[in-house]
Amino acid sequence: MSSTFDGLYIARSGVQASRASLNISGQNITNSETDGYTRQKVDQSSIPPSEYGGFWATSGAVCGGGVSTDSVSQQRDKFLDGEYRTQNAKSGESSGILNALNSMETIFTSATTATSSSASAVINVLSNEFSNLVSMLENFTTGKSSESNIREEAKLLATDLNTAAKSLNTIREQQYSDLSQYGVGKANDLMENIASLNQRIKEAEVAGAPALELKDERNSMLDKLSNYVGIHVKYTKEDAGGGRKYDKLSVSLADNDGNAITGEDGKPAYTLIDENTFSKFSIARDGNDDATGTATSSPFKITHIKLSGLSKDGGHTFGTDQGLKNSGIISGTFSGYLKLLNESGEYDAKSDGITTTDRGIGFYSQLLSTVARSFAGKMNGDNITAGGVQNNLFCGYASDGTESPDAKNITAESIHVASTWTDGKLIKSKNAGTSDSDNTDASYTNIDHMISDLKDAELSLKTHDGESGIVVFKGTLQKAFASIATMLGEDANSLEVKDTSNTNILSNVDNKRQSVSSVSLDDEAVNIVKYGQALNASSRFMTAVDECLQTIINNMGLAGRG
Amino acid sequence: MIRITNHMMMNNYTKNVSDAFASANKAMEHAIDYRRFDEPSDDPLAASQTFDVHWMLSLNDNYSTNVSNLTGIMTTADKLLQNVDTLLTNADTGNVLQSINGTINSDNRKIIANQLVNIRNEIVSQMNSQYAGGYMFGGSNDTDTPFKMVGDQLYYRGVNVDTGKLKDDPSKTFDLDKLANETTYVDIGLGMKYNDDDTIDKQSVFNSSMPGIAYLGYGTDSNGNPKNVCSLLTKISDTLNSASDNEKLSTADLDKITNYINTFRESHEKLRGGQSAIGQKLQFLDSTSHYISQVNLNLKEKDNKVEYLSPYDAIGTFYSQKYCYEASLKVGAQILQQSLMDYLK
Repeated sequence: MSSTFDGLYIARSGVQASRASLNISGQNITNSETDGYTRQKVDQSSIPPSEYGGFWATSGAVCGGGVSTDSVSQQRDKFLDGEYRTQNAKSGESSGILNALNSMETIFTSATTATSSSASAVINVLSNEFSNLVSMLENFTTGKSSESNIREEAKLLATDLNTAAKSLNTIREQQYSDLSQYGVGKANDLMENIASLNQRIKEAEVAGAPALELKDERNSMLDKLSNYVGIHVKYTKEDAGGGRKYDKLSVSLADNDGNAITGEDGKPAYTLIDENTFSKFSIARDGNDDATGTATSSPFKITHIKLSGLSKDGGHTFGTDQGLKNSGIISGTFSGYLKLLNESGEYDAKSDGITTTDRGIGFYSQLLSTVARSFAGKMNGDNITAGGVQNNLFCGYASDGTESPDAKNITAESIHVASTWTDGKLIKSKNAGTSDSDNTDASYTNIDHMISDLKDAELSLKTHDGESGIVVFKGTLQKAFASIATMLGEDANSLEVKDTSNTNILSNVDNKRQSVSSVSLDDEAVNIVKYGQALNASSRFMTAVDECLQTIINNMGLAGRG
Repeated sequence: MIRITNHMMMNNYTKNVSDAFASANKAMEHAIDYRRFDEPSDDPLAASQTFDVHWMLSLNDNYSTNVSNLTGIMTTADKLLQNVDTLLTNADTGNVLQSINGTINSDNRKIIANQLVNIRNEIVSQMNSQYAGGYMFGGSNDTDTPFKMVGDQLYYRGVNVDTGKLKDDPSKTFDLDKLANETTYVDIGLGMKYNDDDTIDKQSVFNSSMPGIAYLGYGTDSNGNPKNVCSLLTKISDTLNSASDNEKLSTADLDKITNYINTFRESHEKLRGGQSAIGQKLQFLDSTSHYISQVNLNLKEKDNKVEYLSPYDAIGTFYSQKYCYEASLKVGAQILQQSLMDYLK
């Protein structure tokens, strides 16, 4: 049996629900362009008749108690969040490497204005200097260039090689400082902020507030964090006591598929955030290989990213090291940085000859040295008198700092014109009457050999001498000089394709996510009309009930009196 | 069906418009400089082809420089040898050599002897001519004066042209054939290559060496007479001078001189042969030079193709990209403001 005023209560619940929904529509509309905002909706349910579950079963027309405005919730799909973050990490990795490759490209190419027309030409710096040197050598035999011309040109080429090698080192330093100053620092800030948000959200939820805006903020931060490193986000329902429950959030390092990297016990191996505790990344570099601990050759410093244990402490006193190895960082800009800084592609291959790493900065600087070494070897080897005396034209530096023409001491950074190359060292004919009479036949033969070696000789440049070396280049020396820029261009080009596709996938996933979470003004316009009308209807109902009560209370018994 | 929201539409629209703008901007750059790429990564294939063509152009330039330089040297050498030829012809005229007979008196003999020495000295000085700072007839040594008269002996790069004895150490002799056959190979784009035994393939290079003694002659013939024209002139003049102060030249001296003159004429013939060989070389250089200019044109045309866009392509693409961008702006104006809100009263 319902009470007299039930109708009014039902009407009131309707008015309340409509007003709540109208307010939420307002909130949605005003935030429709707020970054990271998730559209909200009022969760409502119908109130069952109060007699339900009572001892006396009631029969007849029993009416429910109106509508209950339970809570406000977010329209969000956690699966899509995961997908977005996994893709964001991939995208971060490819765009990071691409940026570095593009800045490396400018080392080897420069635009210049061609002399023949006003159009600019792209010059391959090394190959240009190289062909100048060949021109000098070619014209030497007809007297159009002198030995000092050739020497100056050789100096230019050597300096170009030095500059390229140094610029690569500068880019390496820049990448390292980007990673240590911005990358690691930002990721650590994000982890700290997320942990502190976790605490606030927990407190709010335990107090009964939904903390939706805080969750939006947290989701935005998790999105940002996923750009640095692949993460796996896990929510678990925890009992806060007193019947209150809250979502506990933990974040761990993930693989390329977005699954947490697990240890032997099947639990996440590297935890970044666990509720209100968080870890910190730190970065170090030394000359030791990550996997074997053996020292690698300078200047290819190996960079390590380490992960501390979890702590609430903002003072950076952390618990145990989580034992993270670089191999645990699989995606995100961190992974991109590590590939750039640590990996050398074919040059990393072990004795089995299988390349497992990517071409980072190390690949290009070692390739540069391989080409420089082969060039110096040919030039020195060809500059030999008929009597078998070799006058070295190019040198590097030995470990004690002295000049040395040995192949092992010649790198792109150290190659230079030998101080002993003075006029007359570039051998040509001697006066027959006064010196080694056999030498007359040797007129310019060394120059001819040089021209032929620089121009036509087919080489096969290997990463290392011996069987385990991988051929990184096949062709003439001229092509080898040109190929450094074009190889880099090809690598950058194919990475660009990958990066564009990563970005497109990311934007598709984001669209899917937005499709669920973002505000549609059409929807909200419909909602305004809908809830406005619902409010009107509830009010109208209240009036109707009021009129009924008016009849019942004030006019009962008077009916029909006339 | 996917639910489309204003935020999504705005985001996608912003992204698409900025893509369209970037494409239009790129197309505009291309329409300005017609370049196919600015960085190798823009178009790696075109870039590597361009660098190849640049390299071939540079090589072709080298060949062209060498050919024009060689043409200069060879033309001058040809002229000089012509001068020498004229000098030798002059020596062999009725006034000089042909006037030597048994009745010539001692005064006239002295005059002729003097003339011969002058002609010889003139020949030596012609053969010591320089071109662009280098001695032309020094074989593979262009830095030192090739011919030197020491007393009445002629030395070529320190070697006696008749005996092969070294000027500084007469106990040693040098193989004159070796000096006369010296080579200096110049790469003029004939496909320079080496044989299996590491000697250069002579067909693949141009031999620019012109050892002076190869033209003037060297060594001695079976009679012990020098073959060098200068030495012969010296010998004749010495014989004329040393003849006893009689009115007539002795028969023995006359025979000697006749012998010398015969050898002289043979050597003169050889010089003419050498000169015509230079003429042939000049013709060869001339045709090579035509070929090089043709290759240069072809390479430049290829460079244009691989490095630059045709104006039609560049401008056409620019207009279509511009149209795309403007269209997307227009569409934006149509869709962005519209929502149900606009129609509610």
